[in-house]
Amino acid sequence: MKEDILSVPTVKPPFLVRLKRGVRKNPEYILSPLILILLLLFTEYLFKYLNVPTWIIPRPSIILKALVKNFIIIYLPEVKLTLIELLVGYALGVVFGIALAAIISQYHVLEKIVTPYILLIAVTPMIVLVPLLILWLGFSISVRIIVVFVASFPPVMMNSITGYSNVGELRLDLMKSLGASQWQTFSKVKFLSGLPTTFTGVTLAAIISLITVVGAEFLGGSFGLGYLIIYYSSLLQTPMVFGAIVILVIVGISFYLGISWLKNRIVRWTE
Amino acid sequence: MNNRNIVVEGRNLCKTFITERGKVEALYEVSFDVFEKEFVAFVGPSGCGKTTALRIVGGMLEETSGKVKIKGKPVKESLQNIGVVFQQANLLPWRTVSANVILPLEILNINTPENQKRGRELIKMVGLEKYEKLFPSELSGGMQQRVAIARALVHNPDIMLMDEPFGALDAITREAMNLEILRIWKETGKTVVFVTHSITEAVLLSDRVFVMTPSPGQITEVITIDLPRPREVEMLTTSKFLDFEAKIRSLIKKYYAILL
Repeated sequence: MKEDILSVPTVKPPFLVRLKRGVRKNPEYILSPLILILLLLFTEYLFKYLNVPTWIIPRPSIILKALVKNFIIIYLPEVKLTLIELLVGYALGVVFGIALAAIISQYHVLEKIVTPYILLIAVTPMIVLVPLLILWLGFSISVRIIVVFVASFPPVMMNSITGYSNVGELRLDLMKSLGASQWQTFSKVKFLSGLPTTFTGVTLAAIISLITVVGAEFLGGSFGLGYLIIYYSSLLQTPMVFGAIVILVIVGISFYLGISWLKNRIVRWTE
Repeated sequence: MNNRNIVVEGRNLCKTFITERGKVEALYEVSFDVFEKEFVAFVGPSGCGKTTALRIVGGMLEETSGKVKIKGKPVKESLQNIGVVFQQANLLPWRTVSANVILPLEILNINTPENQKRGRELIKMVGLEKYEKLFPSELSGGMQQRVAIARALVHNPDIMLMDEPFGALDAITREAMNLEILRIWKETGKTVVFVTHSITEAVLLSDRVFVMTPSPGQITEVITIDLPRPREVEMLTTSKFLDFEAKIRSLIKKYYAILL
């Protein structure tokens, strides 16, 4: 490569100058966290000033203290369990949803026949199964894994089917002109053409899974973050309840960001 | 001409589509022959069935009645002997240039080092050896269509089908691509069946032009273009060229009304 004639050897500008430039370019990186900090400080002093009792709403500093103090012994074991329920159920749901969509979208008639049933399972809040599952399986971790699985596969399946049945006619013509088998057409064209749409379902399923796992933990069994929330609110230990909520928020955001990252890594093309 | 081998043989082809507005006879009793190493073009207004005919020849559509033979064999057994270039480049956006070119090798299970080498040679022939690792979205329309041509040739078919391949390109790029396809045709010695709605393009490229007219889709006339080869853009304004254009235009003209 030829050197640019106009390029001048650059001196790195001082830190403050770079910071200023950075802020001007992406003000949200500074402003978004700033809003959070201001909000926390505001509530902190407002509640202190109004003397709001801790068991109704604890101040941010008290929540933080409870969280830090109890993180390792009380929260961490429960976080681990909740994460296992969430991730195992979700992973199974995603794989199953894609597999089912692949089979259904092979046959136009089959797709039409099962459409009402897909709608049925998509609109049913799968959390309703928890009492039954407990009846059958007891208070075990498998109840939660099953319910997360059942809640997460419908959105993945629905969106994947949409993706697979909207593959451009020309792409299918290309495969036909080469005499491609159904499997070749699926693996080389349909699956990848549908991948952006599949990811919409995968993201939706992540949100639904988190709601479902906490709901299932509310309903029975003495472990998991959801259980901690129920337990400590019955004891009026509100700071501990908020501590669990903060952890859930962090889990939810990391889960969502993780999936976005994966999507950007995998779907790198533009149509 | 008549003692040459027939490569594509279409006999009494009919194709009827059932639509909301009733039956549409896209093709009605269409018969034609294409000879070895010949360049023929189907030309006609939209709805005349030219793309339908090409899709049947390429195994992408079933005929309602009639039959097509490729070197005496049914289409389904001859797919490896056909390469198709589509409207728009129709490349897979998640594959690089070279991965797009070797796609037919993967589908046909002939992805050997030797065939991959031909893939690279074809990329070179269409002048894209520097762009092998790029994705389609990083290429211009003309470059994308050149990748599509390389892809259509990678499994070394005898017949190349082209369905309005340059319709999406601007007029100047299109002219350049026309000369490019003539060069490739001469270099590779393929039989080309070309579909276009551009009369000029059809006359410039072809040995014979099949003029098609709609409702029902039929071949009204076959015109032999005896302009000398190699063809040049300078010919576009010669009186002989213009006469061919005028003749085709007069055949199609009476169908203008149904297009509006």
